[in-house]
Amino acid sequence: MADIALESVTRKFPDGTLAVNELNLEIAEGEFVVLVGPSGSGKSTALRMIAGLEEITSGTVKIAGKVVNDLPPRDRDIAMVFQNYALYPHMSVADNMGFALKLRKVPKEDIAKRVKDAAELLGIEDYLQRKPRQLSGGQRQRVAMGRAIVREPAAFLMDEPLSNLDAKLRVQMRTEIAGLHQRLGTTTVYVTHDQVEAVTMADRVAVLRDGMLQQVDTPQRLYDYPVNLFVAGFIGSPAMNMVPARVTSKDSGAVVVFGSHEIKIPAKRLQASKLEEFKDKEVILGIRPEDFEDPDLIPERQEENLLEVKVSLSETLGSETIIYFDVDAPAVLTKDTMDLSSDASVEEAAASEPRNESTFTARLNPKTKARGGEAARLAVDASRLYFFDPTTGRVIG
Amino acid sequence: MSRSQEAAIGRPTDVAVPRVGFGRWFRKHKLEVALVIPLVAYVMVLTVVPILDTFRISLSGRAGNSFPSAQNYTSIFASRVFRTAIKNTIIVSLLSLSMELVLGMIVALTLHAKFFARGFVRTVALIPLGVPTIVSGAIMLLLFSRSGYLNSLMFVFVDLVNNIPGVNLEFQALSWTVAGGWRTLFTVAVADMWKVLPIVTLIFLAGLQSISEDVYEAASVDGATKWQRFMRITLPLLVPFITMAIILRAIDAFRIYELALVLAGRIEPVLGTYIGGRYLPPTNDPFTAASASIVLFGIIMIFIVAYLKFVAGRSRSA
Ligand SMILES: Nc1ncnc2c1ncn2[C@@H]1O[C@H](COP(=O)(O)OP(=O)(O)O)[C@@H](O)[C@H]1O
Ligand SMILES: [Mg+2]
Repeated sequence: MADIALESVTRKFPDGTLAVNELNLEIAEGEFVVLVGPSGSGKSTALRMIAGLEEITSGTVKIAGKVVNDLPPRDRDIAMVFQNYALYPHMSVADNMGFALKLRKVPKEDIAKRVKDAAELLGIEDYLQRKPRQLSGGQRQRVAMGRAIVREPAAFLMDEPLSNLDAKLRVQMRTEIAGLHQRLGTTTVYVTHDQVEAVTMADRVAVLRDGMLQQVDTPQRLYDYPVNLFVAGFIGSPAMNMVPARVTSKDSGAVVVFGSHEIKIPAKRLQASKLEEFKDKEVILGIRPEDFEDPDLIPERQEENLLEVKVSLSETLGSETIIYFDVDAPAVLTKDTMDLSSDASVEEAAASEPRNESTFTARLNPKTKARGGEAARLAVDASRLYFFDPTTGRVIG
Repeated sequence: MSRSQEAAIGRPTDVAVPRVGFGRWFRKHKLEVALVIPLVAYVMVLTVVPILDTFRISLSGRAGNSFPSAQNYTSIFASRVFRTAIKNTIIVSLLSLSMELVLGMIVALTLHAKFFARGFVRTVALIPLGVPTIVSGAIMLLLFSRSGYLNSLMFVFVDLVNNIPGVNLEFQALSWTVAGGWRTLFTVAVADMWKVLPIVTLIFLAGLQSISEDVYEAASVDGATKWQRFMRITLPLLVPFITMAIILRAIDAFRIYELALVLAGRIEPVLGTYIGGRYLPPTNDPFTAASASIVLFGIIMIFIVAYLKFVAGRSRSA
């Protein structure tokens, strides 16, 4: 086991692509750190530089305190799990798992024992004599994990190991990998584009975008205190609602106004932040879907900060109800929000005539009576509003 | 054939025929039968029938010989030239085959690496394929003649070695192709190798490209050196391609004809030139030519079956 440190690590490809830009990241011994970000954000490149599979343009990578920049992968004592598993097609499962030990001339009986132990841990002891092509996707995934575990390396590196599995198996393996980490306690760097995977598995999550580190923190702190619009929109599902808004004084306090809606900002929130400086200027308001609630279903009655909306669609999930409603304010179309959307619709919207309407999502108690096509009243938890500077995208706090 | 393939092929006939009778089966599969007939006709008319006919001729003889008779076979096996031809064919085939495989692998590995103008170099490497066999034979004559490149090279080499004190090598310029013995056979093998190296290289290149890059990456993370990656990943995964190259090339190598004719002439016979010599004027003997052809056919079949059984089969189950 070992700690890993990346210091100003940069990778510039010969074609000029700056895949990873001045990445600083310290991974403590035994920690499970997830690199998350949209596709193309440089996660794999960063991981491959730790593994020694990608050249480091500048900066240093240290494993167990030792600079490994010039060491080949085999001298770094790390094991890697690849997205497509990269099993050796001509070897049996047992040979796949024992390959690294065989190269290191570990005695045959020891290899057999370690392979057997790992296979039991992963529940693949019945397939040891099979070839990879005779296995299902989930079984191959386990073999790839087994190949890493058998080696007892200083660290595990995993590049989207679950992305080729179906949704159900993905959730199951997520739990299993987290369980394995708890048992083995091996330092792990895990790459995924799926923020749910990231926050459910990680001790700490590092959010990457365009090769640049946005924020590293525990999943909860990332959710509660995102540093910018990008992280705020990326972490959390359904995603945070964002809308251009204006903070103004009203009566003795301050309110934030967007479209025809108005929310009173608690005095404490105003004093504790730089929000004062943004008075009468445009800000971007962020509200998490779970900070809306049906006012009839909250313990203490709420008299203010009730939004009158028309529900366009409701989805009943049993444990919660998700409703969608339109707000008469334009959608936020900055680079941050465009980077977040995986489809082209946002860019299309940006290119066309700006519409004075954006869709909000709210997560409500399933007992709510709000239904698609009907009007509803929604209570907002004003203590949990997020404000962002529209020019920099940084949080105002 | 795997069990599932057998089942897939076997089922329609096994199950359908006995119960519904041939007429109904035929009506049901009219289209399939119609589509298969040209291929069957092609194979019958151009492959099976000529082979069977050659076999028939090999057992016949000029008027008076009773059919079937093994007399043609006894007479060719009694001939010293024929036995030399068999020995020479095997030597040339194995020599050219092993040179092709080794060189083809080296060239394929080189062309597989990324380098400047790789596409251009790959195209240039195909040139020998476009050269008619007779012409490549002529080119080889230039290489191996008394005033050819090989002799010049040998002189340079001998001069170099003679610089070492105490060494005093002599080298006489010779015409390799007419020298006879292993020298002549060597020139034939080299000529054959030069001509077909591109095919072998292309087969290996296709094989190399079928191996995904992340398998190598996994191996290097697992601790394999370059050499270990080649021996334990590349080579085993190339076995099907090597098998294909060997079978394709072995068949061709055993029936080598034009190159042997141009380079070795009558100095060192191979089966191909022996058969040609029997068949063509002045000998005009199709009967012994046919029996020698059947022997050649037999050698090729034995080689292929043995290879599939002992080499390809073992590595697949390993
Ligand atoms: N070999 C390469 N040559 C040039 N650009 C590359 C290469 N590999 C990756 N890139 C680019 O680097 C960026 C980051 O890639 P990658 O690390 O694979 O992203 P991620 O794993 O986050 O999806 C992308 O823009 C990608 O197109
Ligand atoms: Mg990736």
